[in-house]
Amino acid sequence: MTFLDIIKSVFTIALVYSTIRISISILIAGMGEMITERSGVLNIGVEGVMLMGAWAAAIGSYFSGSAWIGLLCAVGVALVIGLIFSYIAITLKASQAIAGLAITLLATGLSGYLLQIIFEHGGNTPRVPTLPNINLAFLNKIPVLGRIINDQSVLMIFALLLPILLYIIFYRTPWGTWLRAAGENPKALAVVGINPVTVRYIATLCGAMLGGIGGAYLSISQTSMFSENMVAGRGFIALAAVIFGNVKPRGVFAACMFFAFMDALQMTLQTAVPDNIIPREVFQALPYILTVVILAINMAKGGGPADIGNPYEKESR
Amino acid sequence: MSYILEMRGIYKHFGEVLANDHVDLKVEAGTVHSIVGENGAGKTTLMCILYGLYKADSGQIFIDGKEVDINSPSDAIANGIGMIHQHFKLIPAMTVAENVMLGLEPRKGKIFLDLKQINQQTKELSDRYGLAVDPKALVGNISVGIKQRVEILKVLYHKANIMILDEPTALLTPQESEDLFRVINHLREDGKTILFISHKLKEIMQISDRITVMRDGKIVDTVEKRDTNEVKLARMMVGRDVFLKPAPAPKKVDGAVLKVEDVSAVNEFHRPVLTDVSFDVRSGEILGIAGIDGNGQTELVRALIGLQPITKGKITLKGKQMDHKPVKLIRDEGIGVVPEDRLMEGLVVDFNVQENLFLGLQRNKPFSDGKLISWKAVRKNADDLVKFFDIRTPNNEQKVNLLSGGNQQKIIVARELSHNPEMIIAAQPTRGLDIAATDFVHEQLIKQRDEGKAILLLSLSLDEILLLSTRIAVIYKGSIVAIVNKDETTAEDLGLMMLGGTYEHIPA
Ligand SMILES: Nc1ncnc2c1ncn2[C@@H]1O[C@H](COP(=O)(O)OP(=O)(O)O)[C@@H](O)[C@H]1O
Ligand SMILES: [Mg+2]
Repeated sequence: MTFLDIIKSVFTIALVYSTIRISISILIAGMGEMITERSGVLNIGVEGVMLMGAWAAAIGSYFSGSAWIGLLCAVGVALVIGLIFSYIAITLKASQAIAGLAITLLATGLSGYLLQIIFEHGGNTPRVPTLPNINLAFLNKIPVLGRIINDQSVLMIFALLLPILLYIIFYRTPWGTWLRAAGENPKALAVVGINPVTVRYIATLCGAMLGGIGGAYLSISQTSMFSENMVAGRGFIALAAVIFGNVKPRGVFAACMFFAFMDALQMTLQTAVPDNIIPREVFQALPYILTVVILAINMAKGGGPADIGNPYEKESR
Repeated sequence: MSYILEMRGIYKHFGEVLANDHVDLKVEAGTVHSIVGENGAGKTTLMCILYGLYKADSGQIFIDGKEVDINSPSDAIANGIGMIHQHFKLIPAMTVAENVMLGLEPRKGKIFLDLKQINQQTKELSDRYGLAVDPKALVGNISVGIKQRVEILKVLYHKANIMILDEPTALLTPQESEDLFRVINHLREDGKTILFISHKLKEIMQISDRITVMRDGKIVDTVEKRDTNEVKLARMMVGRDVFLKPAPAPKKVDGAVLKVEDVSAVNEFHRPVLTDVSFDVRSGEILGIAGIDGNGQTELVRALIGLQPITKGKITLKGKQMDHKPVKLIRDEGIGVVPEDRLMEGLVVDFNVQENLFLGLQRNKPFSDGKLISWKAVRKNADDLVKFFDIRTPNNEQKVNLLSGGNQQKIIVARELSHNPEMIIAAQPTRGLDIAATDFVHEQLIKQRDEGKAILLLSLSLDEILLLSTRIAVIYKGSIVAIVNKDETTAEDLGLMMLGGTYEHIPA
């Protein structure tokens, strides 16, 4: 096998298809985390929120027989977690890092435990109904586009529209201005009569909701079951993408797509390159190594919200 | 007589501190009503209560004779009250216009921002009051004086009738202050009522119609401007006679102790922060460095004590090379430093008084024989210094974060002078201190000067520079633009140089 053969077998339309497929969950969760962080709150519990979302979606879908109800369950559970997190981080002003970590730890244990209780065995749920995939006949007539879009989850449409929608909200509406203000200098917002606490609550809840949907995609669309730890670091990749993208819609979108592409690439390389030349573990580690490298390079750049991570104290100087 | 604003029996405490003790205040419409008082007198607290930022424990507020409930800034705005804060409440990452309109943005339809209106309305408002600001400039890139105008625009945009200005001149040059006063007069003619907070008596006498004096959370008195003067006000503020007198001429100025030659330095982003800085400080004199905040003062001090690497130049103390040497060695060679950030760099706030009084001297005699600390010596040192410098503390094992700012500063001054350095660097030594504590620090510096020490004084207060300095160096964008004798200059000349000589007044 020549080098050219490998290249040809790697860079195909299928690679684009899987990039988009992989991007959906981190894009939705990443956009959510971006909203939260823009308001000045750092929720590093995305991973946990996604996991609970995936869990709730599968359970809801299994018992109701409808994946849409499953999606709704994911939103509901994510909002509850978001509310708990907001209360701890915003109202009680506890350390956001610890609250976020706690959520991830809690979700890991709780989702496995509840699985055990409900189905009397761990590991994974039975097969559950899934959300429909896009299947438009006319798309098949368009050569490349058809093979990329058809057969993707309906959530793809949502995921790809989200960055555009958020760009408009961030920069073209008053609410977006207040959101950004809350993350830059909440006092400046308070003195013009808008309560930064409310803004941060709403932003954190929106973020959690999207985290839940991002997780639900994994269990009721990409696959058709919940299995323990199925989020497998995607929440942390989303978190990295938000930082890498400077907490701005275009940047975070690009970062999510980049990470998704790297993941799709490593999977393709694993099969394309014989194991005795380069062991597959090297490719598996690639996205994580790149994440670390890129974050290290990117750290000095700045441009994120100035007041991120700090609780808002009303009567402070 | 009818009052546009009346506050009755305002009472507020923070933990142990009684910030407002049954304060009564009456303000007539269309006047400039000043509130003066030392730091910590409770002025800002009172104004924050009026603006709904703090909640009073008890008390009433009346606007135009009607009692109102003000629980949040939006209540205050709805009642026609606007506030320009001591520390600006602006968002550097947004433009001037976005800051002015924040919270009350003009909309297109119900949902979208009307970006065109945002810029246009800001421009119109700015033109109407002659404020000359560029709506599209990023707030992070404009000067302090302009930032203040943005705050004023914000309050005007909210259609405030009562405008609170909390220590608005604290960060301004004399020129910028003059401009501000012109704007204030314009606003008064326009029928606005101004509450002007300050502890600078000269400007109070210049701008006010009536003056209320506060001390220790209480109102001392309210007087007409024509019935009072600076001396009377100072006495009411402090409760006794005090004057900040200019330092007498130095007794004997000798050769240079500290020599700084062509020193340059860059910051972490490789931008120049000091460029070819040269000066010397002679024994028996105070060299004042005047400049607007952020022109390289911080970096200069850090370079002198070895915390900021220099890229070029030479620093010598009594002929000995000091650049590229460790901090400890520089201090042991005889430099005492009163750092500008008292809490971060001057003290360990969780340590007690006696520990702070020998900080940095742990390895020196008599506190240590090189291995173990002699707590006996530490206690004796603390006893001596506390008595000599009159540091008010319940005991020497009190944590310093529970002491007042003035006493914290006394600890630093006491410690730095205790090892008898020949060179003293005092950076913002009286920032945030009240008149009595300021007076104390000034006295100590003059005393050291007369004992033949060389003193470098950095201050953002031009008044302080003029009061103490023998010679004055002006720093602008990291360069020393002039060194003049105190007797041969004026506040106005210095102010102009501090702005790089290019200041344009707002057209009157
Ligand atoms: N947010 C706060 N928390 C705790 N103490 C405060 C707060 N604000 C003011 N104080 C205390 O209340 C007193 C009055 O302060 P302040 O109103 O800021 O005085 P002024 O503005 O006259 O300098 C001071 O002793 C100060 O330390
Ligand atoms: Mg104040």
